[in-house]
Amino acid sequence: MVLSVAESAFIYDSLVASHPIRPDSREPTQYRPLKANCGFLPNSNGSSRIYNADGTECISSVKAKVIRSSEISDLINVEINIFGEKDNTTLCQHLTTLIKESLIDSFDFSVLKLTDKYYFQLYIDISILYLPEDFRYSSYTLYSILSLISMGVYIALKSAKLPLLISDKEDFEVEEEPTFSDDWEVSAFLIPRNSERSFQPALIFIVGLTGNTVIIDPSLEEEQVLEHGICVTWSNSRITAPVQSLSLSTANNKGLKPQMIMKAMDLVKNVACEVSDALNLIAQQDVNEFDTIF
Amino acid sequence: MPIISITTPFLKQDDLQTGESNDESMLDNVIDDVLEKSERKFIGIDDRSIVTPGELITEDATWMRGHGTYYLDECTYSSVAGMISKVNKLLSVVPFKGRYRPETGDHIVGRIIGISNKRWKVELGAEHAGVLMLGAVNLPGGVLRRKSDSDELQMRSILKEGDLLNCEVQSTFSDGSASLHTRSLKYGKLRNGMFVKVSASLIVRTKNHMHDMPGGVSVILGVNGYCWIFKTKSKVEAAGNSNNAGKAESELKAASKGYSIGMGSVSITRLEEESSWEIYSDKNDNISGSIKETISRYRSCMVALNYCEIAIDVKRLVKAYEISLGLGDVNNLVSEDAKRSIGEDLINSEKMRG
Repeated sequence: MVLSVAESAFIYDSLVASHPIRPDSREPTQYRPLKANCGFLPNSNGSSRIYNADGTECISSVKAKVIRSSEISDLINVEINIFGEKDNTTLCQHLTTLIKESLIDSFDFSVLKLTDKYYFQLYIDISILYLPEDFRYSSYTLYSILSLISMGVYIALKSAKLPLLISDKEDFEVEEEPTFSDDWEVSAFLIPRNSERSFQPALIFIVGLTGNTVIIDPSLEEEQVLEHGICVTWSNSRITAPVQSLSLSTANNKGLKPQMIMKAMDLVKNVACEVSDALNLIAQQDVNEFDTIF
Repeated sequence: MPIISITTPFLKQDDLQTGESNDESMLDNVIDDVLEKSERKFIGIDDRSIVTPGELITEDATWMRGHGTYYLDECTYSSVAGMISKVNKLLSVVPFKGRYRPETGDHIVGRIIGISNKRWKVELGAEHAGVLMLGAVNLPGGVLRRKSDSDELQMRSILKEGDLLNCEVQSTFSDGSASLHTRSLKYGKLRNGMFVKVSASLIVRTKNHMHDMPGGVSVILGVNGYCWIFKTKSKVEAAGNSNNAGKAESELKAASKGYSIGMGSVSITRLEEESSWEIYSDKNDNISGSIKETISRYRSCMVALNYCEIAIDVKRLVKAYEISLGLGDVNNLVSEDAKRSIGEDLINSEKMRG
């Protein structure tokens, strides 16, 4: 979608005004309505599906495997598949690294430790099933789906369950492979639910910048007039790496003022708690229904 | 104002149980019955007026098969969900939903997607892009003459890729594509506003598609579902631009007496004064924040009507706008609940009026 000059000028002027008006009449801190559910893939430990009104849909699955290595970088594997994009494009690889690195930084690896020798290895597969027509053949760079992907991964991880170990935990001396209980009723959540041991996997927020205005979750029209985009990562109640500049579309890019980065981080600080609470609610709500759906 | 709303797409288990299960199964039965052809007559739907994809329409091979049908072994089947229409021996199915199908005389909004030999290609949301010939636009300055080679070279200075314009379908071709024209001052390039796309089936063809709304805002409801919401052109400005206020006034006087031929349209002589380069300008006028907010509110109303699948006309849009004012700040209209409540209130108020 290419906007006409008059149209983009109208949207730009509305955004940079002292009281910004967004084209879809949201507040600068407001998200578009999302729909999500989880725990619907019977073959994976945790799964989630999240989509928004324009049809962008993201399915994520978390699978666990038992391995002997304890190399931290081996324990989390991420793969992203985007509808209409080859796996080896810069976009896919960049998104994969961003998600993987942010998860590694925020993960509490003690939950993956199974016994003295064995670890759980996580495979996180993400598939973007549909993108609106407007995304293709246009100036958009698709980086804005990063926010949806990271929410999907968050729900999938939060709802993931691991089977209960019934063999001995201390197996340094014994030559024994870990065995698990067959009963899924006694399985435990990958990320413990009690507040002391629980942690938050990284959430990545996409913030758009124009003039002195910062907006969260920019829509397609807004991306055309935005001067800059930033991704800000949030985990365990604070802002973490990566905070990175992204060009959301190639239409109207300009330089970036340093104080705008601070403004973007403040915006994320304001919304992050509410977003993660909403996601937690989804992750907790549906896991109970796991048995009834299948 | 919640920052984010995430909901589950499924019905919750409790909802299913608390809802009266008898009613629901009865509703299911009714739907099943409607799908059973034998039952259709019984509940008042004409036996064969509504068809679903793949449904047998007729075994009679004498019918000519039109749009929305296919045939196998001398039988005609429907390929879309819609109403059967029969014209003499031509049998076709008019789909309930689908892409816009241009018809001569439609007032539509389109976006330029390309320029080629003496023509612009215009995206209309139809199966094919429309064609706007260089000869079918007003030249800046209103000169009436044959278009020359130099005009052809300057086509981008008139309309370029991405530009929105409102226009009329001049004729349609056999493949369903349309030829457009903007040979009237009410057509042309669009400025001072915002674009919104709704489902084409929701906009009904009427005499007039450009309306002034309360709040200093006008809308163009394109028949193809592309709509444009913009700041109403102020009367003073229009008169100032035309330098021909005297004529406009005399026309206004005439209006109070009754209709006269040619009234409301622009005479050839005024065409020259009204259509300067300004009609192809890219610059917006000064638009105040409150007007922008009203535009954005109208846009949310249209999105809400589209969401509830309610046909959009000017009366309903005004009503929806009034309802939305009762819901408070514009930001509140983003949520699905707000959209649904606008739709429900609108339907209720129409029921009350009868």
